[in-house]
Amino acid sequence: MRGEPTASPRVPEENLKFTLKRYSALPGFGISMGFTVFYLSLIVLIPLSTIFFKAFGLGWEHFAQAVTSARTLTALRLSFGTSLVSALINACFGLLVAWVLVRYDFPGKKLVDAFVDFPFALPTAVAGIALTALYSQNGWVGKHLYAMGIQSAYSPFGITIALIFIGLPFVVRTVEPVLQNLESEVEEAASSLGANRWQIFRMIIFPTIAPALITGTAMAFSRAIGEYGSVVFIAGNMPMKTEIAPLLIMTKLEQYDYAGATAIAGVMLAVSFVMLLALNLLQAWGRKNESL
Amino acid sequence: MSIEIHQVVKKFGDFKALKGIDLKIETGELLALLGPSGSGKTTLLRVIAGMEEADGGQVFFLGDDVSRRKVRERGVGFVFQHYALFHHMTVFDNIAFGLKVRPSPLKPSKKEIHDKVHELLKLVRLDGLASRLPQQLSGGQRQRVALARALAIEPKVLLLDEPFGSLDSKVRKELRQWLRSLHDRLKMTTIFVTHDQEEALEVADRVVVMNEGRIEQMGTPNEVYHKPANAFVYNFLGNVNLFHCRFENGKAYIANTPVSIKAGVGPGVQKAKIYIRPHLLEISREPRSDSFKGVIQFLNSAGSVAKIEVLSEWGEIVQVEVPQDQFRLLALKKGEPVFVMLKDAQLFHEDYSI
Amino acid sequence: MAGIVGGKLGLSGRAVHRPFLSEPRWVRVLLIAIALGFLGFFLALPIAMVLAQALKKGFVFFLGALTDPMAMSAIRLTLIVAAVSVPLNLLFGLASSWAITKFDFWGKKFLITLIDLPFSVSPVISGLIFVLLFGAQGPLGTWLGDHNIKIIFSVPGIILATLFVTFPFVARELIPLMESQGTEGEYAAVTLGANGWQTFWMVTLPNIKWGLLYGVILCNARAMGEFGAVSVVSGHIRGQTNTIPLHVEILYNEYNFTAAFAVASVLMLLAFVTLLLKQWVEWQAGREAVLAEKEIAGS
Repeated sequence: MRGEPTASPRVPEENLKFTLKRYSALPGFGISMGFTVFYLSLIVLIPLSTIFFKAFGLGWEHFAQAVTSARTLTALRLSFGTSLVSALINACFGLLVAWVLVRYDFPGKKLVDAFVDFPFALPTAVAGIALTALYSQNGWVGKHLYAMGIQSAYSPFGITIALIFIGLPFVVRTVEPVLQNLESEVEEAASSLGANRWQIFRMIIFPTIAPALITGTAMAFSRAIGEYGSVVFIAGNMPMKTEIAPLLIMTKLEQYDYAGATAIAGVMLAVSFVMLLALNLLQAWGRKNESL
Repeated sequence: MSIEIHQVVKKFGDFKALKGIDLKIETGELLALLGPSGSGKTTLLRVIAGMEEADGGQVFFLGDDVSRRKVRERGVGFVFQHYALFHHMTVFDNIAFGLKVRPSPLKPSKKEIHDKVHELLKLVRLDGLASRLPQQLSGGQRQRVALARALAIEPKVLLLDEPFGSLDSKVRKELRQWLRSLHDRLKMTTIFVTHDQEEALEVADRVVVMNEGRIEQMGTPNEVYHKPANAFVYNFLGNVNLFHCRFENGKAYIANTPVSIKAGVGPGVQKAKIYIRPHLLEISREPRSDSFKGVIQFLNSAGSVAKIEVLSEWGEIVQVEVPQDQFRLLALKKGEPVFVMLKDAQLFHEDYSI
Repeated sequence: MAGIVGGKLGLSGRAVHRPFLSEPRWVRVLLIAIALGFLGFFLALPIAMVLAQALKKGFVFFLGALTDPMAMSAIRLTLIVAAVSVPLNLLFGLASSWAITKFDFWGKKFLITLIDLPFSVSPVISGLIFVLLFGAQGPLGTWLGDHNIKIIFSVPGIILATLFVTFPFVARELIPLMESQGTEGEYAAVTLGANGWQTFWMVTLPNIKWGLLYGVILCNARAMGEFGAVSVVSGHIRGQTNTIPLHVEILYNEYNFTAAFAVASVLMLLAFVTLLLKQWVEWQAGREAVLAEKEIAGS
């Protein structure tokens, strides 16, 4: 509306000094933040810090000894190795599943879509015994694999199968929304410029979903290295052969070797934190790519 | 390349977007598809491109029936309203895309691609921006990249879908003129879709006015503006005043005022609608036999013409446009009684409705 | 941060189908076949196996395994643990998302990362930390022993461990949701004279109800199904510190396979119910979103 020009209200100059919290007219910051910090410290931070205190308390020598023993190194190698393989397999098939669910129609699609989350919703112990039953020597799948010479239970193979199971939803659910939001116009443009479907996938679609794919794979990997319940039954837990790191921690606890357990836990926690950081960075990178 | 569209029909579910379109486009023509939302103009463009498959009818490129051919085989250059640039590629890679995806025997060498892309960048006046990303460009620049990208494959026809729709009016005007001069240079058959009648009239060789899936009129900008085929075209292509007139003893009356209508009417006609553009009404302080009385309600002289609203003696608001020098001479004031005369009215029978 | 746990709520589910712009039919059929084959192999087989094994010795045995007193006490304990953990984490989720999304302060991102921590920690370690903290040789060990308070190898320990592993679920759902909803509604309420609680109850809560429910469903599923962490802190004392998953393990280790699978099938049923509720919530949220869009478009 036209009228007299309004004089701009005098705004206090932006403090160049560092402000801890910007003023807000909404109430409740104190109480909500207070409870948040209190609860977080009580349930998460203080308990987690015991690992570090205990690990430090061991002194470097003991720590290094516990961590670099042959048994520990084998367990760590096994955990990381199987987690990586399973994460990569989930990357391939997860991408495929996400593609099929977003782009195609087929009878029962909604049901299938809902069940992708099944490994996430199923208690790990149930997954563990079910998979063991399936892949043991006389299990439905196991008997065929054993006939082919593949030892599917009590072996790294079995562990990897279990890790594929629990990591399945991560890639699918991370890639799905990005695929969903792809503009069809961009594909139409590429088509009008002469590209065939494979070229469109390779040069247009894949680069766009790559951040989400990597993020999902990293999530699956992160989950896999710490996994216990689904793996402990099918692994057989033979030291130096199928003993994964989380199980080794458990074993040491049962033997009251708290120092050893803590040392290994410390290493795994360090890796988890690095993964968490990497994931946050990946997600930020992905968000930057998406918005235009 | 000439294009012929023969009885094309397109349905989306129950909705009929195109109800039988016949159109012939000459080689080198710059054609505008003009119409309101839902008129089917974008659908028609996409059918020509091959992005939609027609449910009936055929499309011919230079005599060849391309109706069943896929997009990538038609050799069309398509420019989208929202550019559809490849976000993760530089300007250079965007423009080079069509050349890079060619199958091996036809694929140009790296040097050839490089030269061609830079040639196009110069053409669209974006040289120096080859290594930028789309996010770093303004709307107008992005649109020019989209155009260069489409031109890179040397298409037989250039199709633009509301190319300037998402840009501010000043940028729009500049790009409009630039498109016109580009077309004059390249002489490529070009079809563009717009809902902006000013744009269509300014840029195109020929305008196709569409409404509700049908072609209302085809012609040069002059033809569709000054000789509209029906009420819809007249109304769509500019501001318009509508008067209801009746006939008695061969004379036309608007309310109780006799008016002179150039067009003759048949003996049985009793009622008609008169359409007249605001600048074809004349205001004066002197009464004339065929002018009606009114009172000035509103004056706005901030513009290229002065816009005046007159409350007619029968109670309707009439829009009149008067050139600035005449306006100054008249020195009209709000509330003044004046007389309004029709200079050149278009008459449509009662059965034409908007 | 939403990642896997919450992504679906935002999608309105419209799939743009441009049939001619897709892959040739044989490619589509092949890809669908491979995808379904993969999913069938990894998802359907375990489900079938659980059911087959559970009912191997007949329905009567099945029921017997479930009503066995040890099983019943395991069920009771699991329910108690969930009944305590879920509301507490719900409260935390609400408080933290209010603080984080309605206010601007230094260290916000860091706080969000901290909340995410339990999600990335192995379940075994999640249990270990509480053993270290409250165990006999821990810093509080002697004090607790003197006062005869049992934390680990007892129910409180199980609850703590469960609180830890289910910590982020509600917050992870609410934070991106409330972030995307902004603060306009709350500011409007405040200008109209509402106090904090009124604003929260009447403005914020209705907006986030589906996200909240979603988070609670997932939190509950994990609380009832957690195995590794609880295994570490529980001491496996039958009849006292065994949750359903632990009971399954015990039965299995005793080679009582059919009973183990019988009890496991209850947990699997829980998973199905969780999935069902998830779908229902997603459907409701999607419906509301579409209605809201239509309102805005139509006006």
